[in-house]
Amino acid sequence: MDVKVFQFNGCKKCFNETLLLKEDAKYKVEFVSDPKNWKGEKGDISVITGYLLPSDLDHLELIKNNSNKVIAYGDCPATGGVFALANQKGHDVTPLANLIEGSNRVHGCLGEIEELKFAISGINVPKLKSLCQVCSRKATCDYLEEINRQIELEDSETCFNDLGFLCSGFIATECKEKCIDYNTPCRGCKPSIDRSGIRMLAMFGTLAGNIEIATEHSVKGATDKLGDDDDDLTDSLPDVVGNFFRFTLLTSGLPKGRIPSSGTLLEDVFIGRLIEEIPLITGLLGGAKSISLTLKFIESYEDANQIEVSEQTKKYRNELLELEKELQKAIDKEDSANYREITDKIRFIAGNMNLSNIFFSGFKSIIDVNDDFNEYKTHVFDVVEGTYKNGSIEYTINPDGIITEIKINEKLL
Amino acid sequence: MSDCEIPDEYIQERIQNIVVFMCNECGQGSANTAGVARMSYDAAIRIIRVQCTGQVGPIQIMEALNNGADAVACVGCCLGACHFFNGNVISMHRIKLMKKLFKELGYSDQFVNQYTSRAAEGETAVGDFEDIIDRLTTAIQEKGTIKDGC
Amino acid sequence: MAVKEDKMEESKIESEDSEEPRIGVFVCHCGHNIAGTVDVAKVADYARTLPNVIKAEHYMFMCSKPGVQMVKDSIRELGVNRTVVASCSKNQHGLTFAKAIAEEGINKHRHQQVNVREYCSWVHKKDETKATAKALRLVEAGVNRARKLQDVETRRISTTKAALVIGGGIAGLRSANDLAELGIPVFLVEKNSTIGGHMTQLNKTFPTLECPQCSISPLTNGVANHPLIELYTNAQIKSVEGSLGNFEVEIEINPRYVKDNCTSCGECSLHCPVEVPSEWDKGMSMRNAIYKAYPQAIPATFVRDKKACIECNTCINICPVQAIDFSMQPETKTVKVGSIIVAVGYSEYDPTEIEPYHYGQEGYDDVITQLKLERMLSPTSLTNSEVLRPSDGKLPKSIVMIQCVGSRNDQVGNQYCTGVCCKFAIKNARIVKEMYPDTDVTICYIDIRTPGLNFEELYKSAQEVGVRFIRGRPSEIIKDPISGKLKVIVEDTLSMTPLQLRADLVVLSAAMVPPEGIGPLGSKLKVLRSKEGFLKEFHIKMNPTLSSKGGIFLAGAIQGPKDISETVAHAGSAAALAAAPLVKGYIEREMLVPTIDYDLCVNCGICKTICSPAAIDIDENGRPTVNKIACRSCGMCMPSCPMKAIQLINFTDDQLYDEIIAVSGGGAVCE
Repeated sequence: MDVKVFQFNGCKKCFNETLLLKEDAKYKVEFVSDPKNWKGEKGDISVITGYLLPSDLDHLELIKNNSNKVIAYGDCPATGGVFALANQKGHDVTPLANLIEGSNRVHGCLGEIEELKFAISGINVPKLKSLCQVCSRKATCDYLEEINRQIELEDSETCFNDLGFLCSGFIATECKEKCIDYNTPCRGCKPSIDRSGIRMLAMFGTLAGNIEIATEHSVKGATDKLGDDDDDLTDSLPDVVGNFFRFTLLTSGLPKGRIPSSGTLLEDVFIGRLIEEIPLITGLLGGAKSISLTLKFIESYEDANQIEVSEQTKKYRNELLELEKELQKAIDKEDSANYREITDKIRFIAGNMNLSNIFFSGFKSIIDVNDDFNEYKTHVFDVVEGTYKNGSIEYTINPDGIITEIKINEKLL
Repeated sequence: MSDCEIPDEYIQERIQNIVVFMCNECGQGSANTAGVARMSYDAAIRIIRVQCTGQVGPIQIMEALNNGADAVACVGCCLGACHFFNGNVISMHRIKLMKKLFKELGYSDQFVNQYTSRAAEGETAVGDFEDIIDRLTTAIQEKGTIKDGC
Repeated sequence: MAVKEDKMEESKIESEDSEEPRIGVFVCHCGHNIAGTVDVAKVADYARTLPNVIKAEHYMFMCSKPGVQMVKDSIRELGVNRTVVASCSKNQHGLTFAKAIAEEGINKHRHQQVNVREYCSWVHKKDETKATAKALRLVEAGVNRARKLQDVETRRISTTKAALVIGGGIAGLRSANDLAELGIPVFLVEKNSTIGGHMTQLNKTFPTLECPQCSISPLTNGVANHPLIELYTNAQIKSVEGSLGNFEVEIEINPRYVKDNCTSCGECSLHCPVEVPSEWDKGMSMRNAIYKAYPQAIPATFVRDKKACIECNTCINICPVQAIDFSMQPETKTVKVGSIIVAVGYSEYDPTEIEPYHYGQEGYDDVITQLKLERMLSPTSLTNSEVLRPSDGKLPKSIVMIQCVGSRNDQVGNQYCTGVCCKFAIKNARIVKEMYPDTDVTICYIDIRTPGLNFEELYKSAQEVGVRFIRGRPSEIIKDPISGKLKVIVEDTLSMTPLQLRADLVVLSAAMVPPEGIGPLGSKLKVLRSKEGFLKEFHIKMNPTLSSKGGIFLAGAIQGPKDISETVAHAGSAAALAAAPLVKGYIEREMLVPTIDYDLCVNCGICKTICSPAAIDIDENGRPTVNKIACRSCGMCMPSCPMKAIQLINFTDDQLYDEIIAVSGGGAVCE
């Protein structure tokens, strides 16, 4: 079967992952990393990876006209993905379905290669369980007393939501990149229902029903109304967009963002996000360079705030950096066997290709059963206002831990 | 948007449909009382009857806004007097999150609101309706309508 | 163990989805009320163009006989199966048309009432164009809604003619008695060994200074001897299953170790070697390990305190009727009832958490609560009704009462005003002052709250006999290190003078707080609690006796602090409401309930959390299930469900969506 993979904009994580198609001899895979100069020749299946802009329409139409089936692989072409967070600031990331008709979708950030194979063959993916149903944590789903932001790693038995860390596992299907296994609440990259973000928002509104909110007395008619002031609820949720709409901002039926842009599309993705969410977002964005990108963010913060990092942590981080280099080599050589081997090694340390296990001051869960986990365990995380710089990256966080300014050298990606 | 004075007609043109979800108890009651007393309010107010404001979710609110409503409001029973225990409070929490979401997207947070009313006092409903329009007017003057975003 | 509910077989609602909707639209003129503002002909013409509309008419008075006949005829002649009447509010004539279509064999829930009078013509009199435009939208919305309306079945559920009353205080007794008088068998469960509750501990009741024992004894005797009332003392609720009309309750009954043939002669107690402080007497006297709480206690049967007993067997040997049996075992009894009344009363606030008052601390024995003072003053007290200092047994020369202990305080205790303390403090102050004219009696208050008939008079009478009132909340009770005398530090806020009041006895007017153990009981009953910890009523004004769950009622102080008269009235109301469905024999419920799509459901349980009448429960497979009888059709579960798995019939997302589109104006914002 003849498969062409097109990489449009953004990180190349999903594009790289399609290397694994080569393991199966029945696929004849061709990689097109520069679709803008692609001349167009008839083919069977076209796989689109990377986020899309309206300016890509011509190229997409050319692809569509030359193929029997178009598949959006990964969240970026399917729902806009994490890059679509830039639309909050007026950018124009667009899902494939809005540009051309009749495309198929494989959700997930990173999309799962097995599901892509199903899509290529035109078979429906067998019904998967919900993430909650495969989660080992016990849930009561009772009203929350408070919302927590920093992640403490002590309790690995209670549901994240019961602990006050918001998790979108309810609307997600079970996945390979299971963040929940690495003490990281799910953000719903693989939604099982349309408009998942807004549904989570509604559900969370219920869960937060016991938290004090501001009301005011409306003088006309003298009744109560919902107040405009900030209150416990809004204070504890500084980033609603980043929390509930991280992957589905475009497909949730929300109006387009009007916040003034303050940089490139990539920089706008980061602005407004919370510091503790940064490692995961860089893990999502960086493609084959996500490890070095993530560590640049983390290490600059750690250095500036004199956060001690154990030898064990350093060792694992260096190992990851080495693996990253090897991974790039494997990609360049289009060596799928080597690619799988190296990604498995990365997953062993970083949890998954989204690097859920990497965090400030250490790792979130035990890597090797022979380790003393206390050696590299992440501890409670403090927000320190300031500007942090590490070579090509410079970012500023405010006292609430929200990124207000950022400069990234895009050549890094 | 805010650079120049916006004429009133411009704003009035933009306040055509305000969807108000009213609960079956105090909400409906107060609007009926207002009608019986022949009070007067803007014809842009369109009432949808629901069992309890707790039945209205962000999905419904966004559906209304996406289908042409200029603003959405829920009107429920007074705080502490919900006929279904705490539906009005739960609804307020959901709407509070929506307001936050609108702010984060660069819009005014006045496109969604929640009010209370009292069944026996029609003026509470009318006061709420007037307040919706006042706030919407101010919001449009400051940041434009929700439709200007597209 | 599931409660059997008759006629509850899962009969699928007859789906007529395959049947094409045939909608009849009728626009009412209401004389000039609607037609004077709204162009009704235009509305009817517009309605005729809408999909599925078979007939659209306008008529002078739709609610008149010919108008209703028009609706009926359309069903008979044109096969209309859904009707939309654009006229007045649903409350006014919605039922008229619903009944009419039901008479023609169409489910009444297929009628959609559109209110173009109260919501349109009456409020937009000045602008006929806009009013007509709005009426068009409202009618379109109504038609859209009608298109997908489904049949809703009305079920008749027979009720179990029996009631459970939890708590044998004045509220519980009143409710039990009233229910039994209506011919309803009652199970009365009391956790202590005797019934009567706090009222039996009091010396006198305000404002008439009556003897509470005399007031309550006809009720206690009446309840104990009523043929329809089964009394369980030393008993607790173990589990509650079922819902409105049919509950199944497990009661755990601890043994008295004394059989019913006890003649109450008292020989056993007289010879018992063990002595422990009496709970009923607030520790003011001692009782034996085998005892009767107080002489007039009902049931009169003695009871053995197993924990205190040293098993010397003296009582067994001495009992003339061999009534004592140590081998009695706790038993569990299951009863089936139709209604439950919770009348578990209150606890007196424990002032130990107010550090400056030193209540309960060593050396501060002379700081007591009003309930202890009541016990001291009572005719059966150890002190022979004299007020004596607990520390040395001497007559106090000065008594200071402190109001609002645990009430009206944002820092410690509670925010609410108990509302009863002013009255009982004034009552006790007057009684004490009248007994000992030479003793100084002072009340330190924030505000005196004595509303209602006869209470202002009580206040005045206390002032007249010489009770001193000082406005100010005492900051501290101190002990003079040399004399060992107590002093109350207070600022008289009326004259702005700081005072140190010498006090031989300090009496704290402690608040009424939710009773101990209400948490577990509340969760067994699945009723919600207010933030203060009392059980929350259904509606504070209109239904203060119904709890958050149908079929469970609240009587007395468990709903909030009350005095005896209020409690009795509240309990009577609870009894009447609890009796209604049982006397009638059945409940009719419209099955306007949510259904759960288990293919979508992820078993998160949020619907259970939000369901205030606890109609959603998690079954043994972890799946939520809806109790159709308990459901109140509020629809709050719908938006809570992240998976859109739970949908309230006739209010589903799809149905609301159709209505929203028409009302919003129809134009999409973001293409």
